[in-house]
Amino acid sequence: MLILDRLCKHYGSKPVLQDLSLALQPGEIYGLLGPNGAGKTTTINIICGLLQADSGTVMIDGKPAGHSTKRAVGIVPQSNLLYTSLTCRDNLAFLGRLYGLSRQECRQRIEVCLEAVDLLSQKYTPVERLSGGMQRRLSLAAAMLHRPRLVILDEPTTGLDIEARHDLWQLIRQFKAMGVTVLLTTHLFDEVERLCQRVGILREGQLLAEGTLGDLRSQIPAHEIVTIETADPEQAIARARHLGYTHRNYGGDLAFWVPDKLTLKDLLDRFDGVPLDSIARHPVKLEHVYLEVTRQLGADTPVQVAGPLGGRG
Amino acid sequence: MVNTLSTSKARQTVRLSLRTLWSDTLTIFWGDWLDLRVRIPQVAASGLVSPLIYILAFGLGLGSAIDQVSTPPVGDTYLEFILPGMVALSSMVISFGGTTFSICGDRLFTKTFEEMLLYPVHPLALHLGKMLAGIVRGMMTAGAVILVAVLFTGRFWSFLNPLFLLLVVLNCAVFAGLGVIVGLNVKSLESVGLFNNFLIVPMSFLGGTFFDPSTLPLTLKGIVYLLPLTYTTLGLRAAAYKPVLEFPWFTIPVLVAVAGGLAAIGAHQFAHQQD
Repeated sequence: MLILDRLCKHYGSKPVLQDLSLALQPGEIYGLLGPNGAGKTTTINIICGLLQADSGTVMIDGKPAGHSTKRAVGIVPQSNLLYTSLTCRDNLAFLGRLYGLSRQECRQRIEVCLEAVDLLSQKYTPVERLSGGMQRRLSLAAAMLHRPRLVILDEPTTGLDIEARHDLWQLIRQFKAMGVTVLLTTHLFDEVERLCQRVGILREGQLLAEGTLGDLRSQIPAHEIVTIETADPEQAIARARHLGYTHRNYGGDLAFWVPDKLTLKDLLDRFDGVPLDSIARHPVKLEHVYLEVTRQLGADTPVQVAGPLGGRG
Repeated sequence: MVNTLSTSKARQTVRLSLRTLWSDTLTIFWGDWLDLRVRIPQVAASGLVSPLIYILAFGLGLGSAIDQVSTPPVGDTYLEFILPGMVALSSMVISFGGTTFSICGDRLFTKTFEEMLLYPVHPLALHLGKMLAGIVRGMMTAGAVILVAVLFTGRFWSFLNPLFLLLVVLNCAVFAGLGVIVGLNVKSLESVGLFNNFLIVPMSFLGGTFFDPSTLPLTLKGIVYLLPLTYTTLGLRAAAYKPVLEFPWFTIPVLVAVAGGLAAIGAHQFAHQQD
């Protein structure tokens, strides 16, 4: 549905995208994960035609991205691109007309899309009177109005409260149910874990890893991750080394990759003699994979993402 | 036979493209109109302030003194002489300023401009749609000034004849087109002020509104005739007070050419805009 092939982009002498390649299958939700400044929005702007890549190609539905592919794409940018003084209906009607919908079709689609985002009762309300969550939902309705085959969501839940976030996640799942391909960029790990079938990790314009959530999690050879608080971290690290556990520092927490399935008693036995203030067990999560992948980039060592992940850009 | 078929197909494609261009232009205009329709009195009134001050200060104040010593080349009084120029001036200010601020607002504040670049419409339609909205803004103000002109002079048909209205529309098209280009290029609202001070204000006073350009020395005449407002003022004055046979027809193609040139530049800039 969407193929990016060796995209490069520089702002001045600073590389923003470096040989970025990825392919989205029809009907999947693909998460592009990365910190601020990773190149996510630049990637989207190139796909949408707002920016010109220095080199590389973008294919949408088998055609080079351009004027003719604009109708196949729906976009929810980071900020709501809505005319705040206009009503929800007027905003959608304007967009519908621009995307070439007939008057009758436009009217029908407005009803359907407003209902889908639960804003039918706000049809004649000016956008400026809607809450942030409602405006975001209206942006989704706007993106869906012309029945695009690819929807691009650029950090759609940033700045929303948890309820609004849940509502939006529900709507994004509906896209998939309708067979729409979704490219979701975010820096929220739980968002990706809840919604996406495949994930790409982008940093400094490079795709460091790519794959299903399971594939990515398998990059950390651990059954679970154990974090401890101790007055003697050196002793804890020495014990972990002796046990053959890899240790990491996750934001000040001392963590160990535990490869076996252990009971809490077994775990405490293994750290017997280490002065423990607390111990906590965590499943391997995407954020651990992310930290691992980006850590390797920071250490300036080549990232070897094996097998199905294989997406070094 | 094959040639005829392909020619007819090409013609059909061109017709369809033009129809799409026109329909997209109207839709872009409609988007602005939805916002503009609730502010019609505000737009008309805001454009009326300066012309009313000029009419009072120059037309009635200075004009009564001038009328005692000379007769204007066109119109019975100095007030009548400057009124067509007032229509040109006010429509210029509002079609330029309204369009510039509208695009600046979309680009720099609401950021809805980015959305506009995502539309599957031709860049020329974007320019023409915005320009059309600027023409309507200018016409609203021009309408208010024409009303004042009719009230002051009692000459209804002088200001409401097709030639006069055509020139006002062309004038609005020129300055709305210029407004689109300025709106696309400025980095901040302060820069709009600069364009206003260095382009619009000098044009207001040098565009033939308050004097007859034909009486100027050659060098100054050259400068004055570089300004599109001069052609509008000349045309409007003739359309208001002179017989059709004495109308300076060259003013129309000049204004059309300038509007066309600006549309081409605007469309090019829309096509290459990266916000």
